[in-house]
Amino acid sequence: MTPAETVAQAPAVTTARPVRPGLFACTVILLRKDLLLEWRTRARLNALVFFGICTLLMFSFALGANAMALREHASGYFWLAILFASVLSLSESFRVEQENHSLDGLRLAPANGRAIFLAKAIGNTVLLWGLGAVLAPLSIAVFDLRVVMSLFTLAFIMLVGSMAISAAGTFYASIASNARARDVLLPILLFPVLVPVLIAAVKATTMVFEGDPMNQMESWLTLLGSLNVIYWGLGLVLFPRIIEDL
Amino acid sequence: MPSWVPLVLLLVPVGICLALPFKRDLLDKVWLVLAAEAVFGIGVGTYLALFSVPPERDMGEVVRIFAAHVPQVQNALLAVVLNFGCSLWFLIRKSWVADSLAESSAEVGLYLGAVGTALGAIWAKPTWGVYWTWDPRLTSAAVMLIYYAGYLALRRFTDNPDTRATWSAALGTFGIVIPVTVYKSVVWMKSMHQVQSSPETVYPQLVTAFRFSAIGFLCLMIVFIYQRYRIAQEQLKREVAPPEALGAPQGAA
Amino acid sequence: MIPLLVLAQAAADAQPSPGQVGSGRVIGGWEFVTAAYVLTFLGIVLYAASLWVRRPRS
Repeated sequence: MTPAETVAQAPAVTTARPVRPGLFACTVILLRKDLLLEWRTRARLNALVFFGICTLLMFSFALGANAMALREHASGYFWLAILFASVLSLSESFRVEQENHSLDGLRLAPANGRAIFLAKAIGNTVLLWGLGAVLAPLSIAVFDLRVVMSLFTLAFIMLVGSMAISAAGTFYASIASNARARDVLLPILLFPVLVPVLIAAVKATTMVFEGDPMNQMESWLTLLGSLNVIYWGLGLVLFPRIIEDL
Repeated sequence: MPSWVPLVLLLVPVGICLALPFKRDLLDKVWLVLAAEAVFGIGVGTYLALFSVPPERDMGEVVRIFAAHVPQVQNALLAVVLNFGCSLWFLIRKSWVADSLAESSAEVGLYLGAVGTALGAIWAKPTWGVYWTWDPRLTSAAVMLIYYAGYLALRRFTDNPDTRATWSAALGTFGIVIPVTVYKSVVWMKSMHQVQSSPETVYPQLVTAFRFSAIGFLCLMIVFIYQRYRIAQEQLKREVAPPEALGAPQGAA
Repeated sequence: MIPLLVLAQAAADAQPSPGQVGSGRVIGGWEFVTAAYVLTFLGIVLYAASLWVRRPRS
């Protein structure tokens, strides 16, 4: 194609303006982009898995060879490992966007702010869930746990828990990643709002390993579900306002 | 003294707060009245609680801490709810009054909450035998303090007033989850801490002292927030106005 | 009379030290009350002082 032909085609291009994708389509596109980036390097995934395993083992070193205590608190260590790893994953997911100002590019594209939130939060959920899927068998082996309830229940608890962590975490990471002292700020802001999530997830996971004689599983899952509704709702409403001001 | 007498004092702060939306500069003049009422209310409440109330059947002398602990924690929660309201107000209509008010209420709430929690710990020692226990009420209160300390830290770490206001408003709106957890933790989860007191469940001899003290602390909180608000406004003006070296006209801000 | 005296002696022996827990009621504990009110007033004074130091000068 000669330069002259390109110029001749130019008006045709402007008349056929691409249709702006809706919220759902936009989310899917952004999510594909994030996951593709992740898959191409796999750096974050590897770092996350090793960090998680390290944390999990550190707990057992810190407590010594007290098998009883380790087994009793295993689900707490499991969720703490996920929580600590989530801070890495979350701040990384916004650091990527800051290189070359790609978040500005996304907003000028123009991508819907809600779609950016959804894509980031779903992407982090997938990562954390994957991390959980690696850590769960490991902790069952290391801490010598017996699975009393079905593994599907465990997978479901992990999904709901990582959804709640990612929704609140994406929201706070977007703020903290742009402030000074961001490495300190994200855990300070994020951990307090995640306390109820941690409590509910740990209680529910403990029941998977130790049985549920009092039939409390449902109430803890309800709490996790309602926290999810609150965090995703608040994130969807507030996130567009935050990235306007980045 | 009948226990409704201190409620008369409530007319002043409530009346001022109701009149405030119509007359913005009202507090510039009457804050001294509120300060005087704060001194009076806290003074009378403390005097009654310390010297006129007889020891209670189970709690003994330490029940007197009630008149200092509960008002401060209540007002801390009130300040945090005010912070939520102002954050929402800022997000809906970009108002700098709301931003400054949110900052002041978060700081005053943090101060009152910290002292109130410390008093709770002091009270816990003779009644529960330990200063601190990882009970839902205490844990959620500690979490609330950390969160609002983080909120103020974020404000410190952000230089652009626009960005700072939006981000902290988002934080304040999100943070309402925490005071609700603190308030409801005694009901939702099994807690050592007793449920919220009502006039029927409080030690009857203490009600008058408590009401004096609570209204005093309410006035104190309004005065503190007002004074902190003026500081915040001053800082905002300094940040937004061009420096005088650039030849800003006198009194332009 | 003597049984009464014995009872009184027993009651005196059972009297727990100030602030002790376990007898179902708290005895004494004025030092906690004092500490609480001192802390309250210290807090008020210190926070008021910090507001005074930061006061707008215009």
